[in-house]
Amino acid sequence: MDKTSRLILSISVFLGIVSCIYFICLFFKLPQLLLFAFTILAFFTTYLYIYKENNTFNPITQFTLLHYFLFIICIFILAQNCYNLSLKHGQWDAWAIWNYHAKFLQDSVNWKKLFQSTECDHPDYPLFLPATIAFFSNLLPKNLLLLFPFILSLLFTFLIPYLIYSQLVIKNKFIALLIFYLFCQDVFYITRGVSQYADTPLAFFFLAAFVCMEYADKNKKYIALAALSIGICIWTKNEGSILAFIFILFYANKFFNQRTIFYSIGGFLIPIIALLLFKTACTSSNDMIAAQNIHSFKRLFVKEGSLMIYDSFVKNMNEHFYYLKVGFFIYLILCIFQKRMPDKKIFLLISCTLAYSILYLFSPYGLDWHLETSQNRLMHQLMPAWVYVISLKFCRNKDNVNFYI
Amino acid sequence: MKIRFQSILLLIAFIVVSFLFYNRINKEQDETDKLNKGLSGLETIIPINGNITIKLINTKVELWCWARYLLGPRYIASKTNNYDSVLTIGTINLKDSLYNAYSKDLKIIWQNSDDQYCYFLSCKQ
Repeated sequence: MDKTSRLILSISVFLGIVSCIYFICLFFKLPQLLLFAFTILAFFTTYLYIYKENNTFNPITQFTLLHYFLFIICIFILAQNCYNLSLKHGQWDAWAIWNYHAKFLQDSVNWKKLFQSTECDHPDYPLFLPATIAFFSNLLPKNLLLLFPFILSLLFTFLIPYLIYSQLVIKNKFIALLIFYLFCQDVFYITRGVSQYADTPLAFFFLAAFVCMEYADKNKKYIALAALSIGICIWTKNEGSILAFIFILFYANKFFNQRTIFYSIGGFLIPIIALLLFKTACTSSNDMIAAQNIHSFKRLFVKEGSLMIYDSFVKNMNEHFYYLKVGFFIYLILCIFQKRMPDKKIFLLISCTLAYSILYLFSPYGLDWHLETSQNRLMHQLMPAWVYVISLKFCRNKDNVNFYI
Repeated sequence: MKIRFQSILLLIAFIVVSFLFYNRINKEQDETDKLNKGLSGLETIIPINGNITIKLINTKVELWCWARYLLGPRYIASKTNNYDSVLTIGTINLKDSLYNAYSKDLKIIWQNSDDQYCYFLSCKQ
């Protein structure tokens, strides 16, 4: 893996580990000194294990001035959109859920009060975002408290397109730049990105797992890194467990063979410990799960519900993810012309999309309202991984399709 | 030119956006900030582990969520019987009638008002 991608992964994974460590330290009432010792250890581990690589692959990529110029324009558009679309306190869920939970976690004595609340608080939501905000907010002066949640959301909004770009640019500069531009001009992606919600970090870690699996055969540490990314997905949002389950199922042979199982366990370990402590000892049950009963499965066969989900999916696709739709169709046409089956990753992503859609059939709320308020966010979580997997297909034949930009 | 320069450019953009956002939020005043001003001083009175409920009189429902966020990590419930004090937020034209109604049966610990709302924190006498 190239140096830039490793840098991006080490920064994000460090944040993931810090949030887990912070929560574990809160849970066991460990002293602050130990928390900082663990944090420093996490920093050096991610630096030495992920970023530093002896047998490193350093592609000597020279860019033309035109490429450089277009890249600067993309960054300018991205920066301007991020600034214009951001809100002081974030969007509704940011202050009503994520940043609100962070305020509880900042208090090492009374943090468990968070789990007493039952009115629209969602105390069952995993704690990647609140714990990261809480950890860094405790270190910051008071006048920067509103800034940090924004910085965190901005970071992931920047890192997603840049990770895809750094992965593609060594294969095909034109495709890399085109994909980067599509993200930078995507108002929906950036609005969700800087909303201070947990959807964008989840999207990032899911994407990171795909990127790591690309290198799993070359270096086993990427198995550990993929496992860690998938673990952090579960630690970021409840939906992350669905994504993780499907991902592990598809890559079970890579995660759980004799040569890699210890790497996988090592990767999963920290987020799973944090999650188990959180789910078993702290939180109440999830509202979706609690509302299910023996008759819930009958909803699977209600035609109206499925049609409503499909219509909403198509509407969202046309409104917010049009380039993904175009890319997917071109991908399918390419597969037909090349007489090849679509990649395993495509089936994985289709399974995730289907699982997310089926989930709505079990919704205890009004389906209309539930689709309206959350389906586009679920699609946003999968979108970067979709874009990455599809664009990989267009980058395979580097020498054939390089426009020398 | 190598990819390292592109990373540096991205980092510069990241810092500039953060800085501009910081400047903007220091100047910008939205409804949450207005409520924050109205509730200022309350965080020193309400203990972190206190049981508080909220009553909204002729106001937006969102005010409960905003108040809860602003006063966090104090937990403010809207539907509970287990409370020791009540935070009441009403429109400013109700200030006197609310004060008279509350001061009969309850002890008003703290009050404040702005051009839109009046705020009372009361407990049983």
